Amino acid sequence: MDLTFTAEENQFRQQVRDWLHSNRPSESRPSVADLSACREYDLAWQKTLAESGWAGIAWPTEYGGRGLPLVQQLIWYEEYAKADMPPGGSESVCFVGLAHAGPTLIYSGSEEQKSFHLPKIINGDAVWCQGFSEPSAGSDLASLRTKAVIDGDDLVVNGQKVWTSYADVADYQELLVRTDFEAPKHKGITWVICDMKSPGITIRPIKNMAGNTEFCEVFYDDVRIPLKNIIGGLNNGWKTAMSTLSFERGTAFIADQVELEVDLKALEQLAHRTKFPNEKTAISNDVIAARLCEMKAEVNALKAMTYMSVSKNMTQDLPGPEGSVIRLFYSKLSQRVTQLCMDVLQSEGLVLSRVPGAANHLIEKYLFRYSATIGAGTEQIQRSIIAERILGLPKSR
Amino acid sequence: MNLLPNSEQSEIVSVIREFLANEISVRRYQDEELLGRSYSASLWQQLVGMGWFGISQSESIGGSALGLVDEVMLAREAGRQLVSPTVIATTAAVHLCTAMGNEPLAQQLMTGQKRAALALAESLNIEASTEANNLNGEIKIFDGENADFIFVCDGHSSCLIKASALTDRQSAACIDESIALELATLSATSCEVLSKESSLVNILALLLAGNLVGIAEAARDQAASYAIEREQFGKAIGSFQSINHMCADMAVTAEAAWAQLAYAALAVTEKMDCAELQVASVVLLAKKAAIDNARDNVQIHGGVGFTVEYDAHLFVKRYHVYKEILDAFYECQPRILSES
Repeated sequence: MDLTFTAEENQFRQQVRDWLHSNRPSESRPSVADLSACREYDLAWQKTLAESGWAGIAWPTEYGGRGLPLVQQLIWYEEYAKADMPPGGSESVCFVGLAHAGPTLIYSGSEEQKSFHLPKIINGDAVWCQGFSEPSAGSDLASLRTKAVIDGDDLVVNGQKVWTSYADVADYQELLVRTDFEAPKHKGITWVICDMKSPGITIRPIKNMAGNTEFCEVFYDDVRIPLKNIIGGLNNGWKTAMSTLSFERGTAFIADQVELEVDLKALEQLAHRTKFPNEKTAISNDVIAARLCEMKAEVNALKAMTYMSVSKNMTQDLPGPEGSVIRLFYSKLSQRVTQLCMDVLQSEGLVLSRVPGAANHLIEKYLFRYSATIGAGTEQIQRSIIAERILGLPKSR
Repeated sequence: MNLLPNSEQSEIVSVIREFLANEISVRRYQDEELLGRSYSASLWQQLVGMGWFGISQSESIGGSALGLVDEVMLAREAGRQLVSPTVIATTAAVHLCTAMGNEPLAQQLMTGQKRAALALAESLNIEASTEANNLNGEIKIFDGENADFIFVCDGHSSCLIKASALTDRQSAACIDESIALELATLSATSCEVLSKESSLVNILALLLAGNLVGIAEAARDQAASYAIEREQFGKAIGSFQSINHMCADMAVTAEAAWAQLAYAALAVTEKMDCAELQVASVVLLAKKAAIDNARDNVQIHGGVGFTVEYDAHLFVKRYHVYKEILDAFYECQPRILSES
């Protein structure tokens, strides 16, 4: 066991630092209120990254990746988080392609599917969205009912999906459909690539509690999807979806995890300069200091867990259930960090924006973090996974 | 960078884990004869035989030349079975002796000819007192019966005091009935070995944190296995979400503390700038993990957990012993908030 990076890794880190230093975009990302502008911005940035070899760092070289070990990807995220760059984690429109669909295709896709889609994801030519949850199938994902019937060379899809971030501006969707209504619920599901420009798709944006509308409902009315878009085989979609979710819980949020350390540093500085009633500054308040102290220790532990998980995932193709341990720890901690930030801001935390269109990012972040323990499996689902698959407890539902 | 134990480390841990589970499982305290005796001479010789006290010492003095991270992994195993704090004291004493170039005494400690017990001293300032070799104050000694030395740390300096130099030792009942507690007074007592090395403070803190992580893990495992075997309403209580999810939270708590323990031990080994911050972080998290999990373990055992017929209560009690020992010499907050 060691924490030392090799000379080669340190050299890579220096290259990342140098490149980031001289390539920070002059304009910041547009507000999420303008989704098309966000799409354009994120894709252009992704293209810039790809052109300089910073996209798909740990992806196979035959599909445009660099084929480097996961530790290099970690180094990239660490430097990226420190460099104050455009959103590089789950906020970007490229997230689903890079963190879900891409790894799933690498793991289960056919040669043709991989060589068509993976370069598009890496090069910023396509945006992906997720189509898993339905109004009646959230945590109980396997009870999904969006129906797909084989007709000639196509699946004909009817039904509805929900909580699809960036559906409005996406090109492709990782879609779960029910292809066998007679089979037990886990056995009749198919994972298929849906072209979002197909006729019969209607999208309705939903405003979330942070005030944004990247969240959508998607309706399917006789949408035709070629059978060749199926990943992992007809009626085998549950297994494929579980691999997608393993990537989501295991490696997708490394960037976000690493970013939390930067967020907490910023919070500590804020606490040092914010006036507080009856104290010099917020940090002089014993309660604030104690909370900050505990969170700092926990953010250190998050980093240690991330390093442990990266070490482990360098030896396995598919992340194991231990991803849920980090996901649960991270999501709850990230909420407490933003909540402490609100307490440090005091009544300034009530002023969402002084100028229209320029909201206080800290407040937005706080509100958005309520989704952290719901998306990617609720905290309750993560607990069930940990209890059943790590501790060997019986099913609790 | 690799935070996974290698195959040699995994092998050592599994051998030690099996040995401790067979020879001195925490269940041993069901035998009332053994209460108040978490130290036993025969166990000591077995630990010596395994090279426990020299695991990270150089081969030239008879050590195994493994790392501090291996040593804290052993501490974690000791914590799981509530092995005597005397093991912590003697391991730390070996470090103290080698740091001060007292190899003969280090070897006597490693080979079991001498043994050190841990003591807590609330308001001791070793450095100021030792100019005149004049330690004064009240101390609490844990499992000090027949120990040759008492190990004390004040957060800056660490020292070994000859047990024979102590007068006025008085036995007392400890909240943790598996430990023999003595109250004693230092009056113009001198140190046998003394060091102001801050690395010794980190090592003692890590060994205690390692034991606390072991407690958090053992409590998690006991709770999970009881949740599988105990039935109510016709099914295993682990199938009720209220219990099932408590166990999951215990797993998360223990895992975070363990990951931080490994990271901190490596940060100290590699002399990283953030080493102090990392050690303070694991001390804070390990204390919290141990009491949270120990408490939940009692709760999941229900009435049985509240009795002394089961050992869930011992984890709660041992936590308080280690927590107070730590608090007497190690403050987390200034170490964590000073680095920004």
